[in-house]
Amino acid sequence: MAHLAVWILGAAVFRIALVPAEVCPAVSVQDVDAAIDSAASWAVDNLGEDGRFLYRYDRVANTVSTSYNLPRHAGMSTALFQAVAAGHTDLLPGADASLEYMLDNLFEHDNWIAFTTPGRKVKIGSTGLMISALVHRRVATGDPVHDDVIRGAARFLVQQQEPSGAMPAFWDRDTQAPTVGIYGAFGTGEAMWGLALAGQVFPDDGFTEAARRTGAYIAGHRRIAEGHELRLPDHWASYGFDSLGGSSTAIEERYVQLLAADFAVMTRVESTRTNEGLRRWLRWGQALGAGLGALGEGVAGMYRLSATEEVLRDDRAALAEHLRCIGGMLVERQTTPEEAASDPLPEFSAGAWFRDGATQVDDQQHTLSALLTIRDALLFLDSLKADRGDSIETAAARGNR
Amino acid sequence: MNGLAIVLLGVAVVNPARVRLLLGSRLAGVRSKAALGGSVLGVALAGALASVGSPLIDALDVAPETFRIASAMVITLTGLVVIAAPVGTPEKLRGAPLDVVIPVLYPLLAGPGAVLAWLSLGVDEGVWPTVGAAAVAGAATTLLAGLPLGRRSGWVAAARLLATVVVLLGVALVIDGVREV
Repeated sequence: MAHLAVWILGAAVFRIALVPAEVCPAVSVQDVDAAIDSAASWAVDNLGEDGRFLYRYDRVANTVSTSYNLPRHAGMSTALFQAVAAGHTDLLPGADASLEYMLDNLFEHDNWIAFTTPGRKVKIGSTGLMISALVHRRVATGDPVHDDVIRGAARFLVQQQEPSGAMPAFWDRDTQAPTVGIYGAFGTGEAMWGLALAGQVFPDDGFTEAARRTGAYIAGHRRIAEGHELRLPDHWASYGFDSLGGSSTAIEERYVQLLAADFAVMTRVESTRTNEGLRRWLRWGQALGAGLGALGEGVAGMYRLSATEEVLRDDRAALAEHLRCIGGMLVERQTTPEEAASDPLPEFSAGAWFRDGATQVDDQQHTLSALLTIRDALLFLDSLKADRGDSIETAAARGNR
Repeated sequence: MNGLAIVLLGVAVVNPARVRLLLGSRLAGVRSKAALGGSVLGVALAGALASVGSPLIDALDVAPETFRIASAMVITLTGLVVIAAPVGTPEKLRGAPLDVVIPVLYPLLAGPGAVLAWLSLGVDEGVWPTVGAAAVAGAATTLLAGLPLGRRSGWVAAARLLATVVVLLGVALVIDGVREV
């Protein structure tokens, strides 16, 4: 009896602590479309007259934050232009209004331009994401009107770059030079992506080569050089390698493979979080909308890359399934208009992702960007089902981007 | 895992050297008979667990990779326990038919590490490779059961060596699981 009791207890501990259920809510393309529309509406309907987004709203305290973050502004602008490029052309006026805010706040020095406001640090992240917004606008509209800004901003990133490919996080207004020894967790990847996108538009300006240098640094040196214990789950690097068309060395290939695996583990772990009872203690609370959205962006980049990247090709269906799972979690956690109706300011709640009663612009930024590719992944999975006469591998290899 | 690693895991997690140390009878015939019977049951159990592995994790809503990682963590832990304390109180064999079930099948052959190894191998490798590994482990257990203990320290060292293999393979399986997309 004692042995039996030990086995039952052991099995219970195993189940609860190590293998809790991984729950991926069912989700359809229609659900994702509705979530995209709702998140985008949150952003554009709450734009200020100066083109700034609603930054942070606390529905419990019913307060709106007056602080602001420029990389997140540029990131939200990017997400809107990504949506425009995906066919949501009704978002263009709002996206352009957010772009005007960036264009009204350009800092020029030598031959380059950076997005910042007076008194703020000159950051690589905000300028890198401004480039992303501009390039996505160009793709969506075919309009080259801001090409000079893209070039100028990319030149800022190039002058920041160290020979190793590392990207100091700031340009110091006092010393008139890149800061020494300060590197951002996200800025490097944001800069890499911006350079990669600029290189797509201007292939002869050296921007692609600069992006490659930073990509090589991220893949081979960053963790040790910048003192990180673990490899960063860098969704911006995922974007960067996707925009570069994949890896170019064995080290980068290995990095991309490991990055995809990291995102897979994170997806499975997040799917075990319910915010309730014992699981909340053992697995912590559910991620922020921004966190789950960024995870989605990371997986999305790997999914898009799997169409061409040899080491990921066999994982395309698995990556699509992870995106389906993330999509289900995102849709389930988004505040619906019905749920928002009881909030003090329903227009600040509907379409948003909250945690501990607060939502922030990057909650909608990352989720919107992720949902756009999640939609594609759901269609791909549907096509695999339709091809059931073929093997899954054949259908996956033939799969659409 | 390649075939060699599967067999190695199967043998190491059963740890025939440790089983020999814990078979409490001085009669080689009694030990051999009990070990043979227990091993046959062990192979059958391994096959049964391997065949229910995939349906079980589906029912539990657990991804194969997650199960592999979790099982490997427990398997590694059992290996560490054996390294630290390779020998407990020998299990008495009465020379009765039921010896093959208790104590040979359980607790000597089918401990938590072995049970999880058979389930996990069943999910990842399929039933027949798992049965094959269990059969090799069973054969080794039966063979060693008939041998006299002689120098005990040698058997303890062998038990610890096999437990070390368990730890190394367990860690490798955790890494393998973490690196799966």
